[in-house]
Amino acid sequence: MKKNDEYYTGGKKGAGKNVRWGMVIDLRRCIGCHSCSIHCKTENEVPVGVYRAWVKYVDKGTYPDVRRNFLPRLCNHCEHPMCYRVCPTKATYKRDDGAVLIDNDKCIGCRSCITACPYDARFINPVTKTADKCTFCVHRVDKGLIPSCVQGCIGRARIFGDLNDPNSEISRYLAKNPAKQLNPATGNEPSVFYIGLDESVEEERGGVTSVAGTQREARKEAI
Amino acid sequence: MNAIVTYNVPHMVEPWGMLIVVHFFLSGLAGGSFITSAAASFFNEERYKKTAIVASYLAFLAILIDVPILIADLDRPERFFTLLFRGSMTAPLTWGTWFLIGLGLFSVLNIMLKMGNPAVKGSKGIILGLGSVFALGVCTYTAVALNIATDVRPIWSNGILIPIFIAASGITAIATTSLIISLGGEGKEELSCLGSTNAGLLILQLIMVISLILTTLTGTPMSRQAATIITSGDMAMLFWGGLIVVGLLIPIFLLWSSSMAKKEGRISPGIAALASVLVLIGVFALRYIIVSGGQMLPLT
Repeated sequence: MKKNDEYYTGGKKGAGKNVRWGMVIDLRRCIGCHSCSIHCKTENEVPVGVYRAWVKYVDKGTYPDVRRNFLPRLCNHCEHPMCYRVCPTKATYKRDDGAVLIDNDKCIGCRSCITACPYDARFINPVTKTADKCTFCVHRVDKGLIPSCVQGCIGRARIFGDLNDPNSEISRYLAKNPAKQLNPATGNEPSVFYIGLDESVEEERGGVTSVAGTQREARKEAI
Repeated sequence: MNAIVTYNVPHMVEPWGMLIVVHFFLSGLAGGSFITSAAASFFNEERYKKTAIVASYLAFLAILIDVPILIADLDRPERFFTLLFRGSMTAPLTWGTWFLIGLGLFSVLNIMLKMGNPAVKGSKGIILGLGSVFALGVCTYTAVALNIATDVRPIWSNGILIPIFIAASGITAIATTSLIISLGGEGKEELSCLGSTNAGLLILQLIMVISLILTTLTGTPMSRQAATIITSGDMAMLFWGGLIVVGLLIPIFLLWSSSMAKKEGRISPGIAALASVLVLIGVFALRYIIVSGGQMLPLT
């Protein structure tokens, strides 16, 4: 693998190298194909009915002036994650490179983190019975690879890299384009940025539709 | 402009369910009962002997049922003991664990005190004082656990939730103690005192619940949506019928009118029992509305 390979992060590992991983999602390029969801599912063996990465659809307007907006979602790996503060067993931890992770061996499944996360990024894994969410694919990133959802994005809407490196692709992209974080008022400071984000799309809530229904139904099926 | 979510994957719409509601109710009963028992012992142990004894046993019994329920709610209940040595100090559940353990211990000591055990006779002040601190912690931590969660759950993040939960704990404890004493058919003087105390707390609770709804109704659009779920949405029937009418207005009327009308301000055991049952229904409705109704607004 060459260093200038577009799927290569440069082999930076978190600890001790002043790296802060982040992601930019350019909504102008997203076509709502769910490729990110599928890549995440296959890479991380995410059980049926739950998603670490998903895409929300919001239809805006009145016929014939209607537009479908896409909002790809994942854990925001916040700088000040509330989920980390409320975890009673320190199962949720934050690496030096900014990735917020869960230690499956320590999680007791109290769901405090699920209630604390303002972004609905967490769920109880029906197989392990512990809290689960996107890991930024750190198992790949530590080996120099980019996260699976980024690699699988056919529109190249996702850019992953080191926010602390001014020469990284993500930093240059953020410098050129105005970007927003989801619901910044919560003070969690997400490391995931969106370009072309229509706030009304973010604010529109509900519309429960998923392939296998809600997670609760999926858990019942698992039992 | 019209906007509609046509596809989404909400994860857990209600991460905390009925077991947490029961836990909140029982921990309120435990904490409130200890404080009621301590208050009765401090003010006049002879005059309020029944209250002091009944409430001391209630606190212990409630903890005994409450802790297994809290453990059962975990998705990995076999790991509950790790809370004792891994506890993160920023997590309300860690404080709750230690408050519950402390209250359990002081409840036993309080019962020994009431039984006249010579081993604890000289430590009445320490047992009741320190125990009350743990009891207050148990009453409060449940509200803090909701309060700390996040601003996107407007009902939970409202600061008035803490005094509402403390008042609810006192109301639950006094109503249960009153119910048990009234079933014995005696102790009219104690019932009268408990009744008027609870009537005062119920009026305070009514004012605080109205404040909670008004402050969320006049907030951001998201906040208004959350309040509407309670006032005119899925929770409306339980809120207006179960909490406001059955749990607050009728008991306030019963307790005040009977204490004003009867000579010497005494409440009959029948009225005390009826008011207590209505109050307990109301407090359970309140816990359910806050826990469940507070999560009904989808996060995404």
